[in-house]
Amino acid sequence: MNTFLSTLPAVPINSYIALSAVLFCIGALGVMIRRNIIIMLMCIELMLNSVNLLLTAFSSFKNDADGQVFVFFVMAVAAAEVAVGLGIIVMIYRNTFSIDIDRLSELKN
Amino acid sequence: MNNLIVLIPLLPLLGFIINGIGNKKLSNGVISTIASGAIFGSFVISVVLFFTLRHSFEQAPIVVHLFNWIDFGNFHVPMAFQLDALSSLMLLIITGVGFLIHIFSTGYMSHETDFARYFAYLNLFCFSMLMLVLANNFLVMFIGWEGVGLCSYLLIGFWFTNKEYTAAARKAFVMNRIGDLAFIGALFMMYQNFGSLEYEQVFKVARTFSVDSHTMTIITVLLFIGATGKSAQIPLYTWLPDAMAGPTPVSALIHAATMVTAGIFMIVRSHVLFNLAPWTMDLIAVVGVLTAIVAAAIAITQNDIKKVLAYSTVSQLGFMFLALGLGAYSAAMFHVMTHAFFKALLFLGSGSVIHACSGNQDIRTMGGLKKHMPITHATFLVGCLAIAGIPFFSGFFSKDEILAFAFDQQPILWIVAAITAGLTAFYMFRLYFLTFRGTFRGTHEQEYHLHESPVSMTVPLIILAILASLAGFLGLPHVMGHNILEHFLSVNGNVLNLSSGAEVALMVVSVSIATIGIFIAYYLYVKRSMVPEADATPKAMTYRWSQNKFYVDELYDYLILKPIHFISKIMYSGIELLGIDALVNGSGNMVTGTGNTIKYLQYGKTSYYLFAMIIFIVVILFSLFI
Amino acid sequence: MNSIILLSLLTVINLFAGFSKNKNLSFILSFIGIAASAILLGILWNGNDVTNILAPNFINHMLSFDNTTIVFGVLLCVNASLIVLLLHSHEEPMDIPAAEFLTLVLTMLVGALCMVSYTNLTMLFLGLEILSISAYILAGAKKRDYRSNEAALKYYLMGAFTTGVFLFGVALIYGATGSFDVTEIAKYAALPNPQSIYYVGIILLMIAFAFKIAAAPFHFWTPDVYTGAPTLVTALMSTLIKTAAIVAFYRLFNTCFAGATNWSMILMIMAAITMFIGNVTAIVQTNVKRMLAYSSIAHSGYLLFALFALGNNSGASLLVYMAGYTFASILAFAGIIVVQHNMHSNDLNAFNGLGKRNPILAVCITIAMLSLAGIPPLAGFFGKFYIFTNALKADYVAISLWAVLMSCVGVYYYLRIVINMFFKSAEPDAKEFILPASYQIVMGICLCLVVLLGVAPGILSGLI
Repeated sequence: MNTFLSTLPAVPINSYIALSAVLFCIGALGVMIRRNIIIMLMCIELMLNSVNLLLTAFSSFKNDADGQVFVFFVMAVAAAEVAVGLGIIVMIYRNTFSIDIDRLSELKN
Repeated sequence: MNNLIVLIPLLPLLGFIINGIGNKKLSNGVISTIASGAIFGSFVISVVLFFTLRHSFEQAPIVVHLFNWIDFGNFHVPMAFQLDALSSLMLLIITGVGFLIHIFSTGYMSHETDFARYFAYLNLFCFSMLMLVLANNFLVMFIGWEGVGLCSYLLIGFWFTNKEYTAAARKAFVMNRIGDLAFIGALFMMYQNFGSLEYEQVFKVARTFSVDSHTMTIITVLLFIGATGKSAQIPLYTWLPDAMAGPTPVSALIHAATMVTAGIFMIVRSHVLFNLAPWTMDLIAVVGVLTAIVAAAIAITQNDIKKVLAYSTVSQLGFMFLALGLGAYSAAMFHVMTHAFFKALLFLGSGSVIHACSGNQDIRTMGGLKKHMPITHATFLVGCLAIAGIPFFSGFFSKDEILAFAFDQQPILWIVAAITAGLTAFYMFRLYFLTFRGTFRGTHEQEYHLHESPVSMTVPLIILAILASLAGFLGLPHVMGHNILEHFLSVNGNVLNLSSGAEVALMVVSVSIATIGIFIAYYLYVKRSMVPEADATPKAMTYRWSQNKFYVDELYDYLILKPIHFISKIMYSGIELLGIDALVNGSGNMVTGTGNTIKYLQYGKTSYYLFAMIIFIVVILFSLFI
Repeated sequence: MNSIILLSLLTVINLFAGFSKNKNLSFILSFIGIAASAILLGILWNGNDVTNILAPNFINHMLSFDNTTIVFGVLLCVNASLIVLLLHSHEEPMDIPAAEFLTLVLTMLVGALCMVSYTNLTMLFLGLEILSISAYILAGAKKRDYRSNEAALKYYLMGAFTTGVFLFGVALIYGATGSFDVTEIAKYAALPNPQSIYYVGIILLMIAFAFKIAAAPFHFWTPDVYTGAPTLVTALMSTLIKTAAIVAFYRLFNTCFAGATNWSMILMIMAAITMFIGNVTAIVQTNVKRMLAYSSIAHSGYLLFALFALGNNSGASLLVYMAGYTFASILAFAGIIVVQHNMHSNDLNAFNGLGKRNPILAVCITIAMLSLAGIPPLAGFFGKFYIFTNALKADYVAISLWAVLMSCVGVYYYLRIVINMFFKSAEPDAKEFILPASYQIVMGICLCLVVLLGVAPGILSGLI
């Protein structure tokens, strides 16, 4: 464990940025491509977690705790958001018996 | 205490709002109480403020700042009121005479169905007029200026079902707009050259300009054109006689006592600018005196009781402009005041007569009303004596002061003005004799209906008659005593350099001219019992010219309206239909077509929206690094 | 700060008040709470002692209540209280109890107040999320209405996605500057040659804000969500959220990023597209709610002017614009709710003959439309006037001309409602609509304010 922690800073910060960016893009593409609302929610979670990773990395490189505190806020808010999101999904399922996003496209033009 | 000033215009505004909204729901008694009460409140406040503050006017005007109306960049216009000698005098005239006319209206308009609308307009007019005189900058004055124009339009066309009346209203509005355009131009010029529209600032900067500079001349000429529109001077005077289509109390308030004097007020207010433009001053004097004599010459042959009074108003306004042109600002304001009293009196008197004659306005079918309407007769006689300039009635003093200035500076102007004074005496007494003396010339049925007007109409007449006889003592000539008004106003104009002997001689001359005028009228219409003949009978050319108002309306029609009609027809068929319509419709269709196409961008599917958002995020990020 | 604490407590208390038999209790509580928080904000006026970081106007480097904040905060409170009043006699069936609705409105207000007063990106993030999550729920307030469901889901998914974008931006800025504090970020921004991740961060934040204020090309959610959500919620979204977002946007760019100039070009292009799409698409709409949604997009375009043409007067012009827009919008939406309730339609034709049937209501809607179109002497005119003048002063001539052209297009669709109301006749059996008391009050207040601000915009613009 100790060796792991000591080797962490040895990985250059740009690698962290690249990893988070890739994770973020995967999440974004997932939201875009998938039709199942629950999976879309999970993809959004992936985007938020990539941000958390990035924040923690910066925090550790700058020796500044603010970034990690921010991560807690992000997690709390994300939990609240997902709770609301699941609520909305349940509401929709009751009306349409489906969680396919494309079923909901009555409002347009 | 000073903040009470705000209430002066606010009360009539409230009256307007209440009567305007409560139009159909309020009873006539409530409506007239609200309207008259509002203006009476303003009057009381004006009087109180006048007596408590009049001594402080000498140091500086009292300015009450309400809020910043327009406040942007270098352009600041506060909504602020200014009380000084000039505006307090106007306040007293407007609210005092206005109140009397409101009272008179309750009697005069009592048979009217649209009672609330009438009083709402009347209150709105008072509000606008008060804004005009209370303003502390030219833009707020302009609000009032436009407001009174609007109310005048609304009230002239009060009986809007009559086509002729609405045409008269439109004519008044358009004529006024021509003047207003010049006024706006003057405002632009002022802001450009003085950097402000506030009186104090404008005058401060203006004083640094040299006398007769082009800027000053242009600004003052534009202001003067604005004044000719509102105050019915050559060439924009033809709307005022037509404006008699409105109810008679309206003619008394708007087209005699207050609104038409707005031009004079405005010039006195900006006298600092006019003092720097002698050329404009000469122009004003010439236009004023020409208007005076032309209008008087028309008035002598008119047979409609209100038309005579209307031309007489134009003529008297000409006198005031003559005074302005001579730099006799306080004399002009003095005449504004006395004219407000006696002309309002005459108009209300004529209203009383018309009321008695069931709407008939032709003096050829009147006569002998003296015994039927003693109060109206007596007060009307006072008005006639005042306007004719018979000694010790108010008109005598004010007109004499103007004549004295004219004689002092330019005897030719004096000669013309004196002739006009004689004509005035003649046509006023022609009117008086034809209406009140002799025997009644109408039908028996009309005679049966003749009656003295109710108390609500006679009391204002009596009060105005008292004012019209006594107001002159505020401005005694130097030989007789102290000119209180001139001292109070203390406007920086020209002073009179006449010896006492000359002053007395001038008075004697003008009184004798007036007496001659009256005597001729007496000889013709009482001794010889002459009655003007029907319109169709052939008459001498000069008489015909005068009766047809020198064909000025026809001239304008021929010179201006016909060519404009011709051009606009070409414009319509050529440019409007083929060019502009096609362009407008085309661009409209183009926009609608575009809208119909791009609305499909809103495809309805969430994944599509997300896709578009991601694409645009990528595009923007790329654009950052290219 | 006290006002935020008070409102937060009130949200909890309000939920309990919902159990009370007295239906008015939660309304009274909310109304008094909002009024009290406005007063609490007001007493901080001019208390902004920059030298003393311990003054009550600074909260631990997290919030700061300067005069700009206070004015906008009070505007938000007034905005919320008007919506609360409208809800009081709301006849449209909402599937959630009034107390819950009010709680959510109060929560939104808390979020909005955080967004206008933050000095730290943490508070901005929290405010934004508090505001947004409540708004997601409110958009779906009609649980059994299919369209309301769709609106809630669309808003939620896109909003959550934007949150991700926003957070990524925040993380990158943190990485570049090492702080979440706006003053620290501003210090970094003033240095020469900032890192490129810093620029990416700014752009991502900008995009997130563009989404929140409904600026193209991130406006896609707006028409659908505005149309599907209950009308009262639409009114809330188009006023409260927009005000909070644009002010947060303005604060961020005014304090932190004023040094970096390459984003102003992007904002300008965004503004141009936004005005075009908003105005031109609004023309072909027949659903009034949807038309106002596009109009709201168009207004975002004008609002962006205050950002890319940043100047000393930007705050004042934003204030005049937002105040005029808020009151005119509430006036319009109140009218629409009444018509919708009686005609069961939002179609333009539902407004036919309203001028004969309910002249006062028709005049109110007309005034609102004229103000939104920017006709003098109403509040909307001066908002536009201030904004365009600022832009012209900063030599943005072409875009200003474009904006004026687009405003002309806007007049067309605003006046369409007026034409329908006054020049088309309704069915013969049409009855007069009854306006509930609270609607009369709200519409009266809004009408007065729209006219007052049009006559004397100086009373607002002089504040900041």
